Amino acid sequence: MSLLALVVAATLLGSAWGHRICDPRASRPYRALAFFLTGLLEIHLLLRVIGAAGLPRSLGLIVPSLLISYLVTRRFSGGGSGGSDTRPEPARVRLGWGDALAAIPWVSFAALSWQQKIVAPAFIHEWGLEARRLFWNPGDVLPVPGLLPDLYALTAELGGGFRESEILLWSAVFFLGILIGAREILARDGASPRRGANAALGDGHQLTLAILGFSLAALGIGYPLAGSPDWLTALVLVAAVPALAAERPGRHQDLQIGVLAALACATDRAGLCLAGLLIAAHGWQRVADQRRGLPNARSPAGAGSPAGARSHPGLTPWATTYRPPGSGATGIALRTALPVIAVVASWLLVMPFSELRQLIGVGLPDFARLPAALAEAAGAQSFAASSGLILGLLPLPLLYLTREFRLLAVVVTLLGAGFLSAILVIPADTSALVASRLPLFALHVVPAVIAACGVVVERWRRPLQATAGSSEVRPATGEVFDSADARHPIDEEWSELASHWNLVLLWTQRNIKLRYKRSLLGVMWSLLEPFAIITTLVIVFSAVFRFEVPSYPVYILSGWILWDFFSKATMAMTDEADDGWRLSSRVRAPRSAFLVAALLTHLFNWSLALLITAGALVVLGHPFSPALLSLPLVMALTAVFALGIGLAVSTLSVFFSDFGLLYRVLLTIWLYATPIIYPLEIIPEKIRPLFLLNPLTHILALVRAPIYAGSFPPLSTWLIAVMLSLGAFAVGWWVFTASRDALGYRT
Amino acid sequence: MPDDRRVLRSTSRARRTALVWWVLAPVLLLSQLAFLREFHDVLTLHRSGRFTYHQSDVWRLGTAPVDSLSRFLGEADRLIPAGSRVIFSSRASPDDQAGDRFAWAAYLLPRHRLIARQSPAPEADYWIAYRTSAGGAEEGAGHPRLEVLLDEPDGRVYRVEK
Repeated sequence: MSLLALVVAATLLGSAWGHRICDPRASRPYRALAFFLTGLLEIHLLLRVIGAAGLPRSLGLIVPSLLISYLVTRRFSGGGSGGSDTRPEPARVRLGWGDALAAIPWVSFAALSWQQKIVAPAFIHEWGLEARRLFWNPGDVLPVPGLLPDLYALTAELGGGFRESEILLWSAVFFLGILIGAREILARDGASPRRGANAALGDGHQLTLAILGFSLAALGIGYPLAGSPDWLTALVLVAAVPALAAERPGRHQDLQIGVLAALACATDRAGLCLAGLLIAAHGWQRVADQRRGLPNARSPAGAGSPAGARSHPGLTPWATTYRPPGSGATGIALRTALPVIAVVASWLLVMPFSELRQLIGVGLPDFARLPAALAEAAGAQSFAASSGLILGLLPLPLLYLTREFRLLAVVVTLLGAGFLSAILVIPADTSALVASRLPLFALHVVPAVIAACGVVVERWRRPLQATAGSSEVRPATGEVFDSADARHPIDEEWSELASHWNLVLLWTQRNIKLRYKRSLLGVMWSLLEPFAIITTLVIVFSAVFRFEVPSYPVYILSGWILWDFFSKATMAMTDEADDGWRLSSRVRAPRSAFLVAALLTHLFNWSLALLITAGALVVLGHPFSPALLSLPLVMALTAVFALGIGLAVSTLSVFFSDFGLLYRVLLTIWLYATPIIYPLEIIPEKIRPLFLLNPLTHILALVRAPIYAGSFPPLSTWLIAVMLSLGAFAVGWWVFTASRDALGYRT
Repeated sequence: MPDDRRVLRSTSRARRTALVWWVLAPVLLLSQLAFLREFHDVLTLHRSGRFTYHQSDVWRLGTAPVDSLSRFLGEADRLIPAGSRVIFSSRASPDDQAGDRFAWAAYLLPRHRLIARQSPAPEADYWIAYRTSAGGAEEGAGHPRLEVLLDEPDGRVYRVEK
């Protein structure tokens, strides 16, 4: 009962902020969640002030203080249920089967928490211990960060005793908050003006919600995690997604991000990184919007629906750039950073800065342990129930392709980098650290990623179309051109490429036919050329220079087919930048289509070259392995890597014509810097790390493992190759799309 | 007259819906199986009664070793004034999990300041010897500065004379 009373009290306290802290169009459960989190922060700060002032932490002092805080906030913020009649109604909630399914694991988790069967070790060692000390010794030194001990101790004080059953239920409350936050992310998509207000969740949404509920409960039960602060950290990120993904964030998003960042700080030391990233990401978006002159949700131009400014018939140019007082960079910084400053100031009240710095434990990471940490992280991803949640990060690249979730993807990626650095800073066994902390990192970030991916999947399943209940008033096509409606080139080029896929296939066929049309041997040339080169290399390096490598012809063959594909594909893409793009300046076609077609042409040639490989394996008596089945995936990864390099090189070669020639020289150096014709082991230990910086070395290991070694590549190699391929593709796509419009004048 | 574009769109949507189900339904099934497995494992673990004194790294609230420690420390708590500096020592197990037992003792004795030592020290006011060899009797009985306050089969509580 004391827990319920505190939840209600925190929600009421936060509701005094009213619409200032939450988007008025948000659903009622999400508004309640935003109020609850704000109230929690207020309670925490009040307890800190009482503790620092040396006053007794008695209910007789706390309850009146909270009441005064509520009344003062309500008076000065104009919050509460009252307000303008023109304020939009909160979106209604229609529960579906996904909610019912997600409720099952949540109830099970709550029941096991109540029975104290899944108490987190951290609760005994740290959070519960601090709470018990606060409860029994009210005059003791306050813990830092201490939101959870404060909350647990206050629950015990309200309940008249320290009962773990009730206190552990806080984790179930935060779990429920995560589900509500995830539902809001999904439902906002369903209830967006483009889809019609109050639309029920789609199949993809419901499935996502159910998957999230079961996965979180599996982790929370198996790890175990009742009483751990990680639930609140995860809740902070999930609750921040609607603000991060807002089309035009305004003041309430500033305050919401500020409160959530402060909560992350107050919860755990790991939350400091999250808090900084949330503030930086939101601040960046706000400043970028202001530079583009976009109205925010609070300005007259952007009031109401996001399309309000565009649909207003009397819109004047000044209205689009109007900024109400306090919406400048200083106002944004104050709203987002003040809550965090308040939390950190409360820490300084109880301990000097030097001790605080020591507690936070900032140090230099030991990068020599990075490969071990990555390998352990890859190895820990078993499908065991309690560690499988980390696999939820696999669809993260999808979020980079979706404009509104790109900030979330960046935040999650940087959190991952922060997690790795934290592992490398702590001087302890890397394997044990990764094994113990990876599931917690998964809990922090995966719920937000899964919910956002649910939106992406559902959008793909149910493409945009006008619905009967659509509340949006859009001008007829062609009447008004609004540059604010223009999509980002990264998105636009991607959609264009997808819609012109038939052209890509036709252009690929044309390339293949053109290449072999007039030749006598036709397609046989794609077999003969690498065969001749490989035969020469085998004779030179096995008979003349003599590398002590068993089955050297197979060794060199497996490396050469990769290099042959990579070098020819990237050079063909550079050539296509001249030929194909001239065509695209006359007919409407995305420029990337010609580059992808060039890549596919050489992917086809590589498939043919694999026939030589198969024949060579038979002739040389090298055994076939089931691991060869992994080759299509390896080829796909290599193609993604080559596409990224090819996009960047072809774009640069248009702007600097010498670059295309320089790339050919670089390719020759790159060939000898890659262990294709020699084994990596002959490189001296001192300079071997330099060779490992070469991305093709890792991709080559993926190709060589199934063909030469007859084994599946280790998971760590896969992980590194995936990261390299996606990284190269992201950079190449960005370089290409960023200068896409300028290319038209150069070709 | 049916709109051909609408028919095409609905066909595509049906295909996509089917694909989403084919991809996400197995993921849902996997997560359900994972949940059921963990739920079953937790219940089995608690029913099996496999929590022992020596495996203090897996102790949970409500299990026999924690209840036993809690009972003993409850008795000791009544004898020791709040805010005292207390040494807590426990018998070393083969894999030496005395640190975990110390953490549990700190959790169960929140009113006192616990010190992790295996023998009496001058900075301490009291010494709790929990399941040390012979219940702490061998170390404590002959010590001139120790006064026995509590003597139980699980251990002893001493006052350290200044």
